[in-house]
Amino acid sequence: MLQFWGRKLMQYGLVLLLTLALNFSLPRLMPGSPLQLLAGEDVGLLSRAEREEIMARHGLDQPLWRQFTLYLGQLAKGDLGYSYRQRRPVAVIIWERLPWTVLLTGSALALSALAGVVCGTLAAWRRGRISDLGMLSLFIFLDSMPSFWLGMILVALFGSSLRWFPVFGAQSPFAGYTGWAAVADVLHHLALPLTTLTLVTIAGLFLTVRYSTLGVLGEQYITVARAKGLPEGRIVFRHVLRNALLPVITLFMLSLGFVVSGATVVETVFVWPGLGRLMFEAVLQRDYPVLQAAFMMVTVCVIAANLAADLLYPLADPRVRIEGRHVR
Amino acid sequence: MFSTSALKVHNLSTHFYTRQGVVKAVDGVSFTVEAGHALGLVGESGCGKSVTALSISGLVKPPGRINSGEVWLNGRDLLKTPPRELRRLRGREIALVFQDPLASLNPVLSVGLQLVETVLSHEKVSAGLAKKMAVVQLHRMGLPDPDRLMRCYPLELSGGMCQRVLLTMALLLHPKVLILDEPTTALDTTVQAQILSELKRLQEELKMAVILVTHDMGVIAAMADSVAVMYAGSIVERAPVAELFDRPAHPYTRALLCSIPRFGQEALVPIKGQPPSLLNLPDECAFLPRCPEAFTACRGKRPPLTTVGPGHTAACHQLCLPAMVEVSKR
Ligand SMILES: Nc1ncnc2c1ncn2[C@@H]1O[C@H](COP(=O)(O)OP(=O)(O)OP(=O)(O)O)[C@@H](O)[C@H]1O
Ligand SMILES: [Mg+2]
Repeated sequence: MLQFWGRKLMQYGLVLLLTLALNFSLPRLMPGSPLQLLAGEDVGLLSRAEREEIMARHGLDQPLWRQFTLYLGQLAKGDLGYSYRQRRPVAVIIWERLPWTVLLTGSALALSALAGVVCGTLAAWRRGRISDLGMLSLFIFLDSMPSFWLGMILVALFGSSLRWFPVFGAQSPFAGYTGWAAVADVLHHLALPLTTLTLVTIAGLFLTVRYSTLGVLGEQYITVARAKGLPEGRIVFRHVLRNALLPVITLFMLSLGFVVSGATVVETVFVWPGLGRLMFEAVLQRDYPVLQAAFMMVTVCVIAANLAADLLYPLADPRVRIEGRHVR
Repeated sequence: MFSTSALKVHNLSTHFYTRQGVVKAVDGVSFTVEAGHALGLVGESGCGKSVTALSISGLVKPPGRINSGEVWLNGRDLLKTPPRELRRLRGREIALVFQDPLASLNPVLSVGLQLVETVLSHEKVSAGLAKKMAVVQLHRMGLPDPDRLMRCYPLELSGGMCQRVLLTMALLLHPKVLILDEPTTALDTTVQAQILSELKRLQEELKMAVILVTHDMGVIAAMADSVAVMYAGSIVERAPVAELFDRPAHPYTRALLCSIPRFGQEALVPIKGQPPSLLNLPDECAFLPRCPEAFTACRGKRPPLTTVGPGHTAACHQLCLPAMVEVSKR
């Protein structure tokens, strides 16, 4: 088992190094001087001395391999570069946005996973009945709806018309809430973007769970469990779900990787101060250091989620564990 | 209410409602098994043996449906028992071992868990005791190192080991009725002999009624007291085992006995033709198209089961109209 984990760690370490190298070379391969990429369009306004100072600070006067080690060293220290647009270190900007994104996408993922598993299992259990067909059509309908469209409908209905929920931002500006009032305020703002994001992600999970549960229900060992006289609850939770949720674990872990990149569209519709919206703003403003750092965060998270899925899966599926023991 | 018979199946019909039409997998099957006796169920592949076994336990899945029939166990009709009570009978009063051993075990649960949960869902005993019961029974089934086996996953077992684990599972709670669907296919002959003698011992000790589905006439000879021959969803002959081997009354039984290996038999003669499709069976003798002894009076109606000796019945027009047979043969 340890050997299996060690090998996986090595594999993913290599992948990580490759992505970092790619991320490092991207701005250097793009047309135009790297200086322009770093400082944006303001570069023309800088004096010669200022330019050289920036070049030297970023090591752009050094040989390439040296630049790469410098880059890795900076990353290790948590230095993600400097945004000349916002005149602040990129790391500060990203750390400011990260919690909001994790709050939104994390809770959306948790909600949709929970609802997807419950509804998917129920639908499979009641295959072909009204409840199954109803859920199936509802979720396929939701799946086919673009997220900005769904978001705009919710804004129009619950925001503008009914005025139940605020339609932009994560906090009421200048309200100065503290303690539980602040928490309630954030939750109030969270309601609509969370609903939108949950509704658009639930369909994939629902369909996966329903499909794999149907597969398991047709297996002979489920009939054997019935023949043994096990109570229905034990059959569902122990025999059906243990098998049916295996593909869902992988799907869930992989979606976890996209928690950070978040939902750019939903964040933009609701002006949610998360990473997704930050990326959108950075594109508009050509703020390359911010974009580069945000991309790196996303790739690293995806790799980490893949690694976690790979390491955890054998704990859930003895078949992989047993085969892993024999494969060297 | 019915003499000493442990299990009485009456006029059981299970049909599958498929897109192509109605498949009459089991069509009007009746038999009884006495406590402490074993009934062998034989017939070609696809004749409805497994569906009969499933129907008795009420485990037929859509598109299949039990259309009619009664399954009497301990004075109650299983097919009219509410699901809650039926659950308590399954596994404890009536146990079923399926045909495909590897597919019968849940791949992500350990062997021990799958054995122990069977006990725990019926008996108020501690998990420790349930485990001990399982280990003892595994040992009796000739499985080496049962303690280690309890921690294994099905993937780590051979087909024969799986089969013995499933037999263990079925025998754990000492059921009154035990249905075995091809219980020895994955076993080699020495293990088979050991398992059969253990089964025989338990059967006599616990007065179990056993239904044994098999292709192996050797197993029938060793285990069964009587035999029912199935053809196209119906029982065509029923007789005590020695009687069936010595004086088979139905042409199909005769053909079947010539086509499968058993002791002291030289050449095998395969049965001519294919078993009929169970879809849209005509309302006449289903063996008619393949029967070497068919005559004109066989057309148009089903032969009823007629008694040809003590405990010996068969469904063939020849037996109803012995005079006519003589006439047509001349
Ligand atoms: N789910 C199903 N849908 C449609 N037809 C079915 C289904 N299950 C079984 N059947 C039909 O029922 C008939 C009886 O099948 P069964 O499994 O009882 O055969 P068997 O006698 O056990 O054969 P074998 O010796 O190969 O195990 C077959 O003709 C099969 O086509
Ligand atoms: Mg079968």
